[in-house]
Amino acid sequence: MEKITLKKIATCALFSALATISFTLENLLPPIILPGARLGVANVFILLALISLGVSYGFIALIIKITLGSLFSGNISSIMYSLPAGIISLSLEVVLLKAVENLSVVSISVAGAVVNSTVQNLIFCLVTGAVEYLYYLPYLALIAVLAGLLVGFTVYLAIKRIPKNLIL
Amino acid sequence: MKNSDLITQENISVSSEKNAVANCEKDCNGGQKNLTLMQRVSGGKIFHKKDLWVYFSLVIIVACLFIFLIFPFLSKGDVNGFLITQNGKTVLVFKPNSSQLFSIETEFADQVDIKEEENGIYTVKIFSSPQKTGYNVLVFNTKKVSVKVTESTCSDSKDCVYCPELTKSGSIYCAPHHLKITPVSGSGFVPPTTG
Repeated sequence: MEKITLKKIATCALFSALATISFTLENLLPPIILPGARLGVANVFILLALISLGVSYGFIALIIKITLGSLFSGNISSIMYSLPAGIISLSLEVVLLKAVENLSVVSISVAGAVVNSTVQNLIFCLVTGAVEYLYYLPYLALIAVLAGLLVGFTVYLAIKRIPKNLIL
Repeated sequence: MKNSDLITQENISVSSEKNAVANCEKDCNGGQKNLTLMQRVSGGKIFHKKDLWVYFSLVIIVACLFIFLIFPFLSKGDVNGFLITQNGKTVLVFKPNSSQLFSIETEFADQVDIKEEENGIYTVKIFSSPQKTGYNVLVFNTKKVSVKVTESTCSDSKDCVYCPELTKSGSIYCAPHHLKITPVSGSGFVPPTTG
């Protein structure tokens, strides 16, 4: 269990706010090729919260991003399939980060993105009964690979550039 | 305390440190397990050899997902209309080649507003509830036998508006309004295409 300090709580709040804002702004843009496919810029901040603060802070940032982001963008029903998908993908990222040594953050981000998009689409098809959307699964996974590479690369660059005296 | 006791204690502390280092070299593989996540990531590279395992397993997962594309072995019938449902209940059926172009269920008569435009194009406004809190505007083309969602008050993302025009295959789903548009054909089930 990580230490709970005021600094960490404030930083986690900042990462959550940045993730919520980027999620809300991304929803205003048209999707990439397929309906529902987006870059996932908010995952940069969630990964940063996970790596710099700790596992529980990462999950808190994720839950705040999904609940508040869905409320602000007007699509409350998306919590139903975004939340389980987000928790499963972040859990996988935590397992890969902690259990496997010598694994780059880019590959972890790609794995998380593919799992997130696949699980989200599966739950959407199950809940709504729109079985036809299962056809988008492989194409969404391919777009998720690209998005995951971008997010992972951004997180890698950000962490490399954080001054050592700012690490909590 | 005697000098001999101090010397003995020093020897113990030095030897325990050596043991710790030896254990670390043996078990820790460069001490990664003792580092925090931040230290591990900041000290890591952008690509490691073990990443290939992750990418290889992802390739297998994506290849397995392509199985869903061959899922409907049912034959594609000729699309002769579209079915619009809300919360699972039929709202409207559009059949251009039949005697009645639009057949609206009586329950939803107040929630549907049809306008005839030029050249066989019809604009249909479907409200999401009897209180008319939200709506979707659908444009039907009788010549092309197609439907497109042009306007919606569902959410900021408006996935239904960004869906491509529905002609022969696929479906359009507006999740916040629980509105579903599916093609109607002889076999009943028509698989979608992307793009």
